[in-house]
Amino acid sequence: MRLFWSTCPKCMKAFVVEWALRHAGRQLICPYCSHRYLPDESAAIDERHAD
Amino acid sequence: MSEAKRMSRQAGGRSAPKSLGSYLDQIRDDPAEFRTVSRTVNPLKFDVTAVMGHLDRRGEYPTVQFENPLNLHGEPSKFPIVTNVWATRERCAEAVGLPRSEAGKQLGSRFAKLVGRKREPVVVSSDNAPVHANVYQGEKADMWMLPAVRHFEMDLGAVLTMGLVARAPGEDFYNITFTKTFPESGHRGGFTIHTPHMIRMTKAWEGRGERCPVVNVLGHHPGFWLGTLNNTPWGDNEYATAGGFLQEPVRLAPSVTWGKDFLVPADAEIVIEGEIVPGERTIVNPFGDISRQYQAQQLAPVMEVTAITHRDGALFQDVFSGHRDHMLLGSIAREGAIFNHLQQKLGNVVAVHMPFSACGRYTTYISIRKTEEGQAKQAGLQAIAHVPNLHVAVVVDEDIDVFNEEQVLWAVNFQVDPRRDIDLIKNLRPGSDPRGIGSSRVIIDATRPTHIAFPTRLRVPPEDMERVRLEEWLDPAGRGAR
Repeated sequence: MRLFWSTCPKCMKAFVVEWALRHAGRQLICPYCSHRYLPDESAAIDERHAD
Repeated sequence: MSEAKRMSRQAGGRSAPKSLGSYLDQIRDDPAEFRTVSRTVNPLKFDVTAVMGHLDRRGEYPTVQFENPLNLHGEPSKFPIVTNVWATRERCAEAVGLPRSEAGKQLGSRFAKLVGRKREPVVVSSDNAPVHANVYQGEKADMWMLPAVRHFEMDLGAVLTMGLVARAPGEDFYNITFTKTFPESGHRGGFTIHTPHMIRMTKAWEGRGERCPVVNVLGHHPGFWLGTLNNTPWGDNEYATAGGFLQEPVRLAPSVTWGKDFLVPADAEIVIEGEIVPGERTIVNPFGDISRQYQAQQLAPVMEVTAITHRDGALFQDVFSGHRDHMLLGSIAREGAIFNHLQQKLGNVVAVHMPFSACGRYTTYISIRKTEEGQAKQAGLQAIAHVPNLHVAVVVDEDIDVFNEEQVLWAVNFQVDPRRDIDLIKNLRPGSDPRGIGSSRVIIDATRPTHIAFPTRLRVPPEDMERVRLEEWLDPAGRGAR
């Protein structure tokens, strides 16, 4: 299963997300500060994956 | 006083039928098995899991009852939290009627036998159901009155970790499986399910565009739960399987929401009745799960609460996720399932163990009575095909104790030629496994080769080990000290 890491633009902490949410148009919820935002609004995204 | 209240109070004296409380009464006088925390704890602020984490680091695994937790509103909860119920094999053995001395390979065998000894449930009236002593509906059915636990730092929030009961449309059998429910408000929450039968049931309701009735059971006798964890065929009524493990019929009562159309465990601590909304999804996770990693944030189905009921003096049960409580909860059932399956297919299995080092899920150690080459690989293949998410199967000879990891790894180091004895099975579907590991599996034949000249393990002659009794030969402690 492919994953990515999103860094919350509000608290700058990162958490792990299923790839299905990367372009689903749904807001993520930061587990640290409850901020809701779209994946493209992440402060950083790590979407490296194995082939 | 209603009959339900009388029985609930009677259960305070803990006569039959079996319940979580009656079980705790068996262990509460032994501080190695049961401890309490009386000070106020906030389960949302990691007070509960910090206590449990410290005990785990000390190598102590008592069941712990937190007497005064806060609920999700931040107010004192009326429900004490009970956690770590399954954290030792000895307690699991007792829960299914075995002596503590038979917590090793006998326990997996016991599971294998109990799966076939179903006991049909009995239906009692709501008045005779302790779990209906207190009933909340509408706005009063508020999940946030519960002291749900947030376990780990990246967890999205508090989680209900116990089991969900469901039925497929038009069917009369029930499936029970451990799930995670995230109460995003008092009246609705997302939940994740990971077992094929429950997924099939909920999809069947969703395919009809209908709301799926489900019941979240927050606390019951540990034997009840151990009976729900077996890999039983579609069509088996898991209330009956649970009765076999409980060694008495599970008592069921008509639900508050659906009456006799959906039966709930009468002797549970707390029951949440709800309905899965077809087509609706919400955000759940991260959650620190069995692999001691975080499950990734995802979309999951939504349950809307219709009623909450509980017995007088109810306990709120939680699983200490990613630790022994969680590992043993599933590993012993898998040991039994693999043992049963290999005996039926091959007939030469001696013992099966799912070690803590692989979280009780991802590696199995199997010992066999090998008579010819190829049997070890057969056993490994059968195990991997039978148990979802099993990554590694190590097969050893019967003289290796599969419960002693040092012995197993000795066999891997000194009886395995990697080129000949390790097989990689590629391109399997990972099933419902939410982790990022992939879809390959490994079989390691660590049995002693019999088709080539090969060394044997050293040993002192058994007859001399028997002849020399340590208590007769060893000087008393202290003699010889300078």
